[in-house]
Amino acid sequence: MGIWVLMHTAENPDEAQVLAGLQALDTQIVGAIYDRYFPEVYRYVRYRLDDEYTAEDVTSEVFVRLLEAARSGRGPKSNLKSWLLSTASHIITDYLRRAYRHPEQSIPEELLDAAYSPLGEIEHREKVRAFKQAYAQLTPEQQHVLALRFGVGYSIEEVATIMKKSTNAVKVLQFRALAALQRKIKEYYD
Amino acid sequence: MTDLYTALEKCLQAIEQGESVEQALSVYPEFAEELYPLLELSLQARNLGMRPIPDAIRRRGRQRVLEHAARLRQNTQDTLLWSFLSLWVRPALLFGLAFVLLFSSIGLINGSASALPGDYLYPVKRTWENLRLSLTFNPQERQLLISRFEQERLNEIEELLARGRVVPITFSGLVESMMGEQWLVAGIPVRITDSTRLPQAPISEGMLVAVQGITHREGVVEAFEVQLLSANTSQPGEDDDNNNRDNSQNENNDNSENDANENSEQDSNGDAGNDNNGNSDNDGSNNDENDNGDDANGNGRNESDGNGDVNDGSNSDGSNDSNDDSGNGNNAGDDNGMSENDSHNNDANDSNNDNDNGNGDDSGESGDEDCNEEHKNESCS
Repeated sequence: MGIWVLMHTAENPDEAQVLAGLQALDTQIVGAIYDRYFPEVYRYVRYRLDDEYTAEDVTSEVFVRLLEAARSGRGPKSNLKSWLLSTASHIITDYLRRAYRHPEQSIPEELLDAAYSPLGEIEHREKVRAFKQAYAQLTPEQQHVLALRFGVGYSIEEVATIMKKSTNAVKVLQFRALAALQRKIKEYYD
Repeated sequence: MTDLYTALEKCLQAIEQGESVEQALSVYPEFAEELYPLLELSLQARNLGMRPIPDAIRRRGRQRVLEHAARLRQNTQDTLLWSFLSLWVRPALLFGLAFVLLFSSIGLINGSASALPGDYLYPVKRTWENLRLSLTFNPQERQLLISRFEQERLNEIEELLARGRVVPITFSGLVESMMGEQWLVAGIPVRITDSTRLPQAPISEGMLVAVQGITHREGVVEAFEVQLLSANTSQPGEDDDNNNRDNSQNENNDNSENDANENSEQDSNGDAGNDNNGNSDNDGSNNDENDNGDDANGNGRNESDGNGDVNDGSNSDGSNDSNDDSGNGNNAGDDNGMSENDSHNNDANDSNNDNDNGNGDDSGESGDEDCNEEHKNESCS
């Protein structure tokens, strides 16, 4: 229970203690880490991949890699969150490279966010489709920043820490990512 | 003067605080034209991220990760030789044993008899047990064997605890005492933590439960999940979405074969049937992502399939309803607590099915019903 409190009350709890327990593969600590970071990692992965099943597998893979790395002493020495999300990003980039994506590929209906559009609103679904297609065409780094900032909802400072960049750099990145997204969406309609 | 990028960020923050796009931009009229479309886009970007996370996904992943950790811990103890041998020797042993058993009338020399979950020879032991059971046709003898094996499960766990080994396990038994977070189930100390999933119905002493968790160095089992077992061993149904994942139904009720209560070590899927239970409402740590609704649609392992009925009289779970309707495979559950979740219904059910749930409330009756079942660990009066 103490671990739970530790992980949920401070942004940077006594990470040293947590990471030490992680290396020992202590069940309670592993469980606590999972509980603390699963929602964010999953949201991030699901946002990037837009597929719940793959997102589940990739998310589990992120934590499995954490265990493997920790056990052999290659785990994060600090900033666990950054390690997790960067790892997720790498796995996703590899996955996307392998899975051929044709830019004109239409996204299956099931993946559209039907739950959030009033039934029968074709226009809304069209907008969503345009967004997702355009998003898929962004560079990995642009997708990354948008997934962190809007998919998970991190603040600019958190994104900066995760990406190991300055907040100014991230401000520029997010601007450019949104601008690129907007251009692609326009192209979709033209 | 603020630059364009900072202005964008400031507007984004203002929108996060609840301002409209127009309000946010009013501070930066010089950038309004350029930023307006981007801010509108950011709204859409944010909306797409806001769907809830199905709880079943969280649970499955958690079990998977914890088991992986347990396996990694075990592996560091094995020597390289054992790892190599396990590729060849164990299957050979399994085959050999089956052969010997088939062709001998006694065939009871069993070198794996003392193996514990997580041991190299443990699967051999379980296979041996299953073989014996499948070759026992007399119903009384079968019952006896089943009880012995169930007791052996408990012994194994106690041995694991005594040795301080850490292994994922599953077992079932009667709740003997509940002191805050320390329970005693079938003589085994079980620790309930914040992240233990408990059924929606309150558990009390004397109830039959299934515990899924991991043995701990300190000599307790840390529970990941506790399920109420009804007298009717309801099977979590096959579910469309879960097909590829939870194939090995860890039916925590040992109806006939013992292998139902699997130690998740053997479960190559890594899924120790997490989703057997899961009235996700209860679990305090899950509140945000809680999705009974989602489960009804997708995962179908709808919760309280029959388990919920065990509740003393007031099966008032809305979740029971959503259960049956979507017909997500769990038809066994359907007989049990349709919608009127009240004792009235339980009584009706009881008259239909001898094996029916109604455990909690029909005091005298439930006792009998328990006794109908194979779970004869406990005394049936």
